Amino acid sequence: MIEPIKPPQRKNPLLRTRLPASPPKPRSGTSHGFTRAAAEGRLMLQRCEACGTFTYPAREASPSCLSPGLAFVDAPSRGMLLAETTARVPSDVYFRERAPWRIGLVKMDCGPTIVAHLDADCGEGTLVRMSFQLDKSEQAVAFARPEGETPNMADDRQWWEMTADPKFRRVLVTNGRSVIGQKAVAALKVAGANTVFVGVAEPWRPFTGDVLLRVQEGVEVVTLDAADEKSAADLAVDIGGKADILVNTTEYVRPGGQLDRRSMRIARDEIDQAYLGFINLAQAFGPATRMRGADGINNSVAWVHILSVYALANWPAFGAYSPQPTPLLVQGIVDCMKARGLKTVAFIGFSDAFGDLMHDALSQSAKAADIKGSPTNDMPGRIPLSRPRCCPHSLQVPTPSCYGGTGTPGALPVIALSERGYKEPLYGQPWTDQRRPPAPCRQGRQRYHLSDRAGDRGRAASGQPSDPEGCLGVPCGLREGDRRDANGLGLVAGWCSPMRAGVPRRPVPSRARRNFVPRCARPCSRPRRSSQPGASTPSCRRTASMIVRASWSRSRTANTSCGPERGACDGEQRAGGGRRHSRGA
Amino acid sequence: VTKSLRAPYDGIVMAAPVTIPYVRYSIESAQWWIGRALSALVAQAGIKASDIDGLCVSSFTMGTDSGIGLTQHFGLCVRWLDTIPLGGASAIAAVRKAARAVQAHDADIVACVAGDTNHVESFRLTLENFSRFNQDAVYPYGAGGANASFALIARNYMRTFAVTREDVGRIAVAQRANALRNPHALMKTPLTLEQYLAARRISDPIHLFDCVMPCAGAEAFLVMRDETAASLGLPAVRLLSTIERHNAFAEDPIQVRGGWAMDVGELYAMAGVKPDDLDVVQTYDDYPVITMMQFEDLGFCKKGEGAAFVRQHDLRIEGDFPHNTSGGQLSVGQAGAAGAYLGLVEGLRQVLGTAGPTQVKKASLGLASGFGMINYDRGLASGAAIFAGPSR
Repeated sequence: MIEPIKPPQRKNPLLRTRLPASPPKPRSGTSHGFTRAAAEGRLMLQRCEACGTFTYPAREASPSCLSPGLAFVDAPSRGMLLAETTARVPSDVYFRERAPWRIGLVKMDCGPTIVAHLDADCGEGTLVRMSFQLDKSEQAVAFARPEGETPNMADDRQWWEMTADPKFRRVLVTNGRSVIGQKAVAALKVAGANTVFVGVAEPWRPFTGDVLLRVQEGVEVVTLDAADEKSAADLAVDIGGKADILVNTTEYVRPGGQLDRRSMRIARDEIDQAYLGFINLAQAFGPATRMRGADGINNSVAWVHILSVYALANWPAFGAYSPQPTPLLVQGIVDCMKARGLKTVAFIGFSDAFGDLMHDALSQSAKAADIKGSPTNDMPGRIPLSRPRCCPHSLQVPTPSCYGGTGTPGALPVIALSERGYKEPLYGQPWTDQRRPPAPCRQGRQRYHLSDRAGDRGRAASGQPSDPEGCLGVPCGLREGDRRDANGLGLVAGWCSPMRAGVPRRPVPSRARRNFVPRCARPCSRPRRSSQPGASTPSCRRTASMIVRASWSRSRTANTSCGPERGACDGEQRAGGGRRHSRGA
Repeated sequence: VTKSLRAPYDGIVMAAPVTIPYVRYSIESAQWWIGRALSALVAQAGIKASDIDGLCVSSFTMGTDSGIGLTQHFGLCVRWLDTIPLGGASAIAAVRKAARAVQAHDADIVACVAGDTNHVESFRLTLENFSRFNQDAVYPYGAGGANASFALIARNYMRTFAVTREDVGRIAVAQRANALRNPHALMKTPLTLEQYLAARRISDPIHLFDCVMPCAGAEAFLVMRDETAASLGLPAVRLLSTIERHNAFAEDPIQVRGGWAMDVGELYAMAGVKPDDLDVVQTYDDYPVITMMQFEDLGFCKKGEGAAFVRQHDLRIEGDFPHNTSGGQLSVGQAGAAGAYLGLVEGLRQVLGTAGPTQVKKASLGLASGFGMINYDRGLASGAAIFAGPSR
């Protein structure tokens, strides 16, 4: 009988925070086949192609007929627990800190015996269900759980080590303006997150769904602009040490092919948000996060990056957008951490976090979202996706529900496999079929999943039909059977889980410094119409961060004025859809 | 393929059993310990180092060295060389190989030596890098090392055959009594059954006194033909029979018997003796449960009767079944691969009558067994040898 995990006590600041350690990491090359299986949420064992015998551990030839043809195939997951023991004096630091640790020997119905981590309710002589999980070293480990459901399974102490369950955890969703961000918030709350911090750039500006965010208990809207160094650093000072999960929902989608736009402006914004914003978030929140990888039951566990599938496949209508999502960047950060022995990798997969979020939102928060139906997995021309999962569920069962995309953290083992001759496709195939029109949404409208009027303008500018009713952040209704990608925003997600000890890379500004608001050095010549209620003063109200941004813009563009063509404080157009004010539409 | 009868070990003897007293931790290297053993071998046998023309080495902590490196290291010019990485079965394997080498005159005097050091981290490193299967599929599961792996075997064995901890504890307690007579044993305090039962848990059902203590040390002996021993004036022990088996009973889902069970008939038949004839028995006691398993598999009782056997016999030096007379690894310590040699070397001393304070009266016929390499879920290597002293 597993006791439910109790809400964590307030942390005693005088006690030393346990530094993260990793379970034993080295494996044979062939054994990485299990890691691939785990990354797909599958139980795969080697089976001899000649004699059909299942084998375990990973071998290079069949022990029954010496055939070298050992293929990883899905294996029946049932077995019987022959014997169990509780290691009380492990020789490895990771396990020593978590002792006692219970393991057992399971005789699989399909033949092999497997040493496995045990759920607390697995008893000797009983049937168990075997699965591969990715442990804190992101290596596959066999985990045996009771065959049926038992109470509080997800709270099993050892299972908890394999997961990144949002329950009792504090989550930062970096962009609450986006639909995905709002869905993530809802889904995370449903999954039991303690507090969800929702980053919103310039939160005084109303946006669709903001009321819902503000009234939800345990949801805290915070100021965060991923593209703004100071904004991210300020927030990191406040909550960096307690954001156990970071969900990066930063997005900046503007249509327009590479040839269609007439300036670099939108492209720059895309880069600012998705590319530089990513790095900015990593620098601001990474150090604290990785210090807390073993900080109690609500330790920092996961970074989820929701990236567009167009990171991997260019769709000409969003041609300039495609290069900016950052799977390679994710891998770069992951690799940096790996080089310092600091990180564990999770996964990136096509579409899944988005689909998970949508699925979760639709199935569990359907009323709030006022959307019926469920997304499905069939994305034509892509590798088949596995079962849909909501994002928090994926965290609870941290097996990515699909894989793909080299250059992504979760792809690393896949890449390693590929180098070893693994033949299955690693990339989704680019969606290049321009002849097929986007599927209509429920109202029969053309489906453009752009969530602000700026997007509409962008579409108009690029010659695409405008959405007469304006989506304004409300997704077109997804229906049963809809293609997830048909909304124009196929998404990719990944997370890298617990970061480890490191030193912050740059000094954190003092509170005094953060609160210092410099005067505008260069008064604006043009009045500004603010959308802030009651703030119609026609004078410049630039904040420090605006100045930072403005000066940064100047330094990039040699434009020394903050006038209408570049300024951060000009008229409605900029306030509504301008490059600096409409973060993450 | 028809099995043919094995050639007997006529005229093959072992001599000059050497033990370099163990220490819990050593700042020296494995090579240092092996060097001490070779030096003691030469001194005890009254030969020159250059008389050694065969070398057989076992060690876990030699780093990048193997036997060949040691020849240059110690200035040995040999014409027969082997490195045996069989852990607890190394000694039996060594004597088997060396015996055939000297029998065929490929070598005249083979030095069989095992030694390991024990630094603060070396035992953990050995666990972590033990084998590929271990690295892939055992060590990442709680990192309990051999304790956890044998705990699974012990738990299944004890449940299957209704063996209690008291039954198993008798073995450990008797060995401690023997060890108190052995000045070189690391364990120097008496152990009662109550203390055994009250010991802290390590990996259930393995408790503290079920475990060996990793330490540093070395053991060695010489293998030669009897005429060589005679010419040197060396008291020698005749090798009567041996068995060796690896990866036996792979179809057993969990280990309840070792490879001995497969070859035990041949062991006694080749020696021309019965289990009852043995004066002294040295089993491989990495865990007392494994010793109990050996009592069954080596023919002293039937499978499942090990507990009763232990209850019915006195396993101490003066008892009716003198067993692990030095105290065994449980009480002397496990100096890595030297642990494989511990029983055989003590057995040679016993039948030579040179065991000193642990001597069994009138011991002339001995058995030593080995067991090793828990590669994945079970000990893979097993072996045994029967030998007779000059008085028989």
